[in-house]
Amino acid sequence: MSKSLVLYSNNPDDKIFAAEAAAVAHLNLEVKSDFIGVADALAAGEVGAVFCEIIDQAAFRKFEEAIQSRVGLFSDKVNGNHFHFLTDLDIEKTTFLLESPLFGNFVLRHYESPKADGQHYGRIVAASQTDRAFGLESIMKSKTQSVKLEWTTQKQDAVDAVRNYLLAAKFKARMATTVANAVDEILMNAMYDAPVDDLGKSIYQSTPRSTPMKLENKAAVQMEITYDGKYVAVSAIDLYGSVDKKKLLAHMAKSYQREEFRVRATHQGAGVGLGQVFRSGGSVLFSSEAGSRTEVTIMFRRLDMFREFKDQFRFLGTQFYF
Amino acid sequence: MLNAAKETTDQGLVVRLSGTIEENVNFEQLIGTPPAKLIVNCKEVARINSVGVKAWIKYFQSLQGKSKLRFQECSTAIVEQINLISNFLCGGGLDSIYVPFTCVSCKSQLVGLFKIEDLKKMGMNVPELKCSKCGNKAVFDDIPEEYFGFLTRV
Repeated sequence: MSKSLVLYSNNPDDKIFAAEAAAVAHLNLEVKSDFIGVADALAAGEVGAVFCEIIDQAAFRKFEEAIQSRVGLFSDKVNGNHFHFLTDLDIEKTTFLLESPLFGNFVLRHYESPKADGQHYGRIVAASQTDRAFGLESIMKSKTQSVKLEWTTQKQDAVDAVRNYLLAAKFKARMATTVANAVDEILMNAMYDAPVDDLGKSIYQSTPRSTPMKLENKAAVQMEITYDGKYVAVSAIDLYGSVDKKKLLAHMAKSYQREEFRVRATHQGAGVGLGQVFRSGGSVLFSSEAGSRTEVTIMFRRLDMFREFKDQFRFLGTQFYF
Repeated sequence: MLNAAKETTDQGLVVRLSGTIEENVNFEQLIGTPPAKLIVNCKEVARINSVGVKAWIKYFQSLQGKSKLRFQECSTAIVEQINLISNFLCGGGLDSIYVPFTCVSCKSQLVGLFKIEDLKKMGMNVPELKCSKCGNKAVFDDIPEEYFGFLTRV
């Protein structure tokens, strides 16, 4: 018996979106009219994915209560990797969601076409059904190119190469620069933030990011890139699996538009890069197996107008394995 | 890599930045000890990463109370940061920015230079430009509330 994709939403576009995603992921769509219906489906088992519309914090608390009362928030039937929250809210206004044990995936439903966006997102849902959602090829069906970076000084060349690749693929210059900047951030994180010692303590937290370092053995960073004619996806892969989900999501939600950015002497990283990737139109997917491997993938759709590019349908996905 | 061309004028020291602002940038070395008036021209700043943002804020904040700072001809990359980081200008003034346009016909991207005082008068309604490639009209191409968001605080 195949698993189901359980949907709760009052938005008609979400139903189209979910139906397409379910079809791509080979899941049966089950539409529920309330949160209790979703919770009961989880309690019964055989749920591959939950798509739930979130309109505000109060609604989300009711959803949490329903899950807690029927299944238990920390039940083994509840896996954050399988929860997909559909919303129009800005990410910085959803800390209540990102801090929840239920959080797995944030979908900013700026649909251009719920059908096409559902087909695109269905690839992420399909990957989440596998044992480990690793490898660009498991998400994108286009040919993937891979390069291993063994010196931190190779980062800028890799970033420039991505930008040139995108220009050759007819991305507009400003869009290519935006994607290149996102690649810069994920590579820098993989090189300087991912390495931890045996106790899980960051090795290079206080090392200036301009310090040239050889990335030996486990420290080598793999970059993968693919473009299917519509979406470009780039992954940075490290072999530490050290991403702290809580800290990561706090960084993603942090906005300095009203608050001042303060330079911290203890950390050489700035802590603003990943959040800016999402705000600039990019989707970000973190797949991480503790102590083993982290893949951070950014995805951008090629569009003719920058306004559409920046406002495109996108998601923040997390797939954590412990 | 970032370069800086310096010119002493009646208005003060003008520093024209060009290139990418990233982890290797050393503003102290590039600009040195600035005089009482420093004008930073950012027309040719193509890209800035997060560590570059940190270096920028660290350096220009250190000038507060020592130099009167103004930014001119800020590229789209710099305007994005002005919008995303509330203290990115580090107390400095902002004279002008580049505004992005896209031709409705040939889809070419171009930029137009606007003074901040003029943008404030226009609200978010910047006039169309004539495409330099095909002569057709080019329209503002970003999200107005986001690209001009900083106007309420400068």
